Amino acid sequence: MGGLSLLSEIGKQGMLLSQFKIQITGKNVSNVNTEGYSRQRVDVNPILPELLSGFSLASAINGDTLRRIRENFVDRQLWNQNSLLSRYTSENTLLRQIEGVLPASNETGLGVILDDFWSAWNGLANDPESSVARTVVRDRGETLALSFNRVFEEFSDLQGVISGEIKARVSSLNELAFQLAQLNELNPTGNPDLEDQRDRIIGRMAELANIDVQRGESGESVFVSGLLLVAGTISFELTVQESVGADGISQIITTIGGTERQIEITAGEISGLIAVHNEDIPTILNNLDTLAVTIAQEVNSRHSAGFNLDGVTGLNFFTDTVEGAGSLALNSAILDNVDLIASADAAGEPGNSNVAKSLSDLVDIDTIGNQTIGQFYRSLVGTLGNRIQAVDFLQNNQQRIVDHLRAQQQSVAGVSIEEEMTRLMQLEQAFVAASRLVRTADELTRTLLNMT
Amino acid sequence: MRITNAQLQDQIISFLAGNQERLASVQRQISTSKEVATSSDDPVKFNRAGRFKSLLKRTEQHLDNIDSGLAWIRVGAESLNIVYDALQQIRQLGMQSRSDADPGARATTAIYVEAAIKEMVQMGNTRFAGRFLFGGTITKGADPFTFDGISVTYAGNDGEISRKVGEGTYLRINIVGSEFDNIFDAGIAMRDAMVANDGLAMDAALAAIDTVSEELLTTITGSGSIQRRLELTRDNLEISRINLQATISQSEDVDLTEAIMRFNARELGFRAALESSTRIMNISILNHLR
Repeated sequence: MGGLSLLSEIGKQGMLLSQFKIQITGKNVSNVNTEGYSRQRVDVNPILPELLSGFSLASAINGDTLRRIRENFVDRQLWNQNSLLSRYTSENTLLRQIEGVLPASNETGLGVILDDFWSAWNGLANDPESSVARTVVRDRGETLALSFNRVFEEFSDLQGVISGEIKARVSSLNELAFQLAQLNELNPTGNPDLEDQRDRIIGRMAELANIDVQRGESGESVFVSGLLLVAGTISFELTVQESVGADGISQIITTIGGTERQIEITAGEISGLIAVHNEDIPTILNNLDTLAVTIAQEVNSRHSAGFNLDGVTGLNFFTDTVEGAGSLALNSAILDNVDLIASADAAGEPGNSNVAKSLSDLVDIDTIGNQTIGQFYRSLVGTLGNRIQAVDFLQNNQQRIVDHLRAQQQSVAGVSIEEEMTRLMQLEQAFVAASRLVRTADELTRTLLNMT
Repeated sequence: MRITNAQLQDQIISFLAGNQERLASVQRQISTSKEVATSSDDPVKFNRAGRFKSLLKRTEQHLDNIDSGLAWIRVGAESLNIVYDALQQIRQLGMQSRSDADPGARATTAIYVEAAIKEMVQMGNTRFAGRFLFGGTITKGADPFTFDGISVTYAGNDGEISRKVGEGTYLRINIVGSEFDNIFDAGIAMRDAMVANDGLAMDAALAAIDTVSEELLTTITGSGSIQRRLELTRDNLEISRINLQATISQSEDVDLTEAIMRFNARELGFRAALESSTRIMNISILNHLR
């Protein structure tokens, strides 16, 4: 081939090429808001007429020359930093939930209920002959016990909800690992759409756990805390193991592939959930238990030494079986009959209120270490507040780092409408120009034909 | 740096969200008038406010205790004053009767003396809010003092009744019958001397009445000084109550002027951000292509 038909062939190829590029521009524009999409470009070798005869056009516009524009290095950083951000975010959300459960306000919290309880004893100390003052003591005592029970139950429920969340998150991590292994079989390298999909999967995995990605011959391998989760085309599974201790408090660990080999997840949403589930909630529950047991012991030992108006002694105010916040309850005999509440330290002295006094004095006595019961509770709330503040701070800083990296990636990989539109106009002109080549070839041929 | 559409959108969303969050936080402070509502807002200030609120509650409780104690002690002092007056009346009758040697008249006067003794016993059995004032901690049941015509017996004990006025500090507010039950013996001795028409015994009874009157006065004065101590403590507690309220307010209440200024500044910032965002979003090459 040669001469005029070559000219028309070059024109045709130019038109097809422009058309293909316009298609890609269109694809970029359509995906301007698609999460994780990287803009694509067509790299072509110059169309050289002397080579044309031997090549089919297909090779010029096949997938090999279509590439995405993206910084892999930024991606890796983004995955790592995003893992940490997800951890802080999930921790922060959960801790604020905890702050809501623990009645932490200065107006209605457990601290106020405790103060009310002691002041009810003070009221009984003023009026030891009165059954009204006894009813107040019983009612406030019951409110105290029920409040402890409620807080304990809500924390147990919250722990249950979190454990469900952990299981759901781990199973989606497993699903993602499986998807990645399948994708690796397709060998996505060089195919921009598959590469984007692969990075989306890895990005989602990074939000869930701390992962380390290594590129190998059979695709990307993913490690979690040094153990393989995806090895090329093979994926493993994480399992969640939950155990409930003697204190009724649940603990969760993750193991790999159904073995007993424990994997410590240190970043990502799963780690935030596990930290709150395994550490924050148990700490608070243990402290609440200490508080409830101390209250029951201190009150009982004083109360059982006292006498009621009928001279009955040796009764406990709370039940004998208080083991924690969940089991704090009033002695059922007292619940039924307030006259059994003791106020005197001697029988037959209705005006004697020494026991009621010593109970109301508990408000100022250091019974837990060198803290009073009220101080112990307040420091519990204060510790939680400090923890939330710290996580808040970490989250905000981490958010800035991630925002910055994301902007960097977007700057390279994102679609700019302005750019694509300009390119569209260029390509339109190139298409028109190429079509002019065909027309020129046609005119020249006609001239030649007319010559005969 | 290459700027892309998504980048611009991310930036606008993040800035607008930040502005909105700051605006919401100052709005919450204004509408609750609290700067610190939860522990995580400021653990130190929150803890301080909680501690002082607990103290405030206790201070108020102590003030209540003092009020109820004062009422008790005032009624007690009032009753003892009446007892003292009755005792003086017996002394008066004794003096008159001593100078008047008519045995018939002395026997008649003895009846008045006995009436005065009964009045004293009745006062000794005074109840306040249904409770015996002078029976120690035996505040209910049988009367602390009984007069069988021959002698007065005290059935109460020496139990202390007190009110809590501070951390571990109790002030005793009751006077027990055993502190003044010798007045009855002196009165009865006078009556018996009159009935027996025994001038020397009457002299001895008069001397005894003078002694016990002195002692009773001391007891009444003592209760007056406890009253003053309670009142003084109350004044001090009132002052610390006001101080505590001020400290609590400083720890958690918001300075409204400052908060509103901050609100205005942030509102302006938010409006400016909104305005500039809308304008940027409207600029596009698409507006310039035919």
